Amino acid sequence: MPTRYGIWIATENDVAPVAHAALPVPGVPAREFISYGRPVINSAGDTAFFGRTDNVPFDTGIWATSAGELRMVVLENESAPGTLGAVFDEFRTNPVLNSNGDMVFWAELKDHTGGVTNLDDSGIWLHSGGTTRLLMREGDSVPILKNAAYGVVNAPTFNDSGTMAYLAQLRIDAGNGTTEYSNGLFRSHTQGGDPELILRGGDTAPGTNGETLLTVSSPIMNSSGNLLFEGRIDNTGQTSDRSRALWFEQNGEIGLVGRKGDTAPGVPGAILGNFEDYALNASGDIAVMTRLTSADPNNPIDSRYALWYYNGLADSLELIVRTGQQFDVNPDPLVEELKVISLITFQGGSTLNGSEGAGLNDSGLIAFDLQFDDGSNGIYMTQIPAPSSVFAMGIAGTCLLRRRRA
Amino acid sequence: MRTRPVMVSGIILAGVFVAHAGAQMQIEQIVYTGTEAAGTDGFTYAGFMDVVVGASGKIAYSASLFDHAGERVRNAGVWTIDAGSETLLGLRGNAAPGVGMEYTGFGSADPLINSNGDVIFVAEHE
Repeated sequence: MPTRYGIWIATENDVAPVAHAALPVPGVPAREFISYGRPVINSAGDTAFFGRTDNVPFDTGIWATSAGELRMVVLENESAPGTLGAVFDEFRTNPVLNSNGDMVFWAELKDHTGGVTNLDDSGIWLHSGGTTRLLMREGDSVPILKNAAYGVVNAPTFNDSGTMAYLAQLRIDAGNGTTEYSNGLFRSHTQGGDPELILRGGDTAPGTNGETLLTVSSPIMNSSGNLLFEGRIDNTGQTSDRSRALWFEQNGEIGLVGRKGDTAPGVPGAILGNFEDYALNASGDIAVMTRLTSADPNNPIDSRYALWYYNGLADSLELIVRTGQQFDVNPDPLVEELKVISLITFQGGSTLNGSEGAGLNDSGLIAFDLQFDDGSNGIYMTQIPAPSSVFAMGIAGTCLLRRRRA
Repeated sequence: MRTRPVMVSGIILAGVFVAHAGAQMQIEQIVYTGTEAAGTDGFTYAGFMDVVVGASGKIAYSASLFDHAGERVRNAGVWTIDAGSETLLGLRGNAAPGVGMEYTGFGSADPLINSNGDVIFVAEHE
């Protein structure tokens, strides 16, 4: 018998189902849910998720609850609003639900329906007040870039103010029948207006010595619309791997949080490796999990991972814990029981829309799991000292770079 | 839901102090393997996953357990700890509310907390 899944909500005094295999599937009679993406919940207790039913061909869709009532939002093979007869393809990503009950979702369109080709088969839709409308689509002209069209669009993020951020491939008509490809990080408002280009491949990478940004990754956004994102830098001419970096953005100003190959503060002999996971809260606090490597390949270190918070005043990462570190696991301050940290698990993400699904909350509390060399592990919590957020940068005011406006 | 107090302060900066060459952070132990898991009649924690923290400092997580025979029960359930109070939300083998069947696992629980402290999670059921 196949595994069956359900979604539940635990409130203060009750645990109640949202969806499960024994419940009717709104919009798909006589079928049952067989799997879900990670469900989201907003401050009102409303939920949304993408799910898969055991029906074919109406296989996937997005469902939501409002005041506890489950309803279908969109289904695969259903007509996609804003297109000329195209239908939705399989849903594969989670929708974003804000506190107003508005939902933004990414979807693909089935090729050969409504004239769809592989040049215009993805987009972002807004579901609000019971209606769904197209916000942007692959193949659309990019309003603020000459001769540019959106290529493949990625799943967006979206906050209570209706601000949306997304990553999109760019196809730029370079003339002579040639097309140049890049990708760009955009922020826009679901109520309309031109999008804002935050950064795109080919720009100078902020906080570097004029090096070129190759690509940017999908961002994390907070309730103020500030962004935290990773990017890949042209490593040509470097003697070590400096190809990855993490930046935050605030009102058009971009600051470097850390870069692969940077000296790892507080870990002698170590440099930063890849950024494994990161989180941003409403106050602009940032927590980051990175890999660590040895600055000298002939002199290995005992740490492979570290968890940091970003100190905006000092413009540096501050170490919280690292693997290889001796750690007292006995809560009694009079008894020392040292073990070596072998693994750190930290959940990245944002605290958008009254919904917290990360290891960092809006008060700057960081929760994480530590595993020790004897196989034991525990959940730990620490507090980011105030003020340390990116907004403190206004006090330090040193490392922010204002990007050129497109 | 079953709730019992646990031996943590619920107040940050009251726990284990960690010193290292860089910044000094005060880190509180919230829960540790080997301690009894709330609502399990004596099963103990074997490992933790999916740790998230909500607005009030409430922590939600899924965990594996050791049963009375010392056998590991993987993806056994979902709990919260809030201000020192540990609460079982769902446990493998317990009735899944609204389904009329039992929970069979929490391998993709991925709990998420809203600003009211409500927790949403995925579970496997019969």
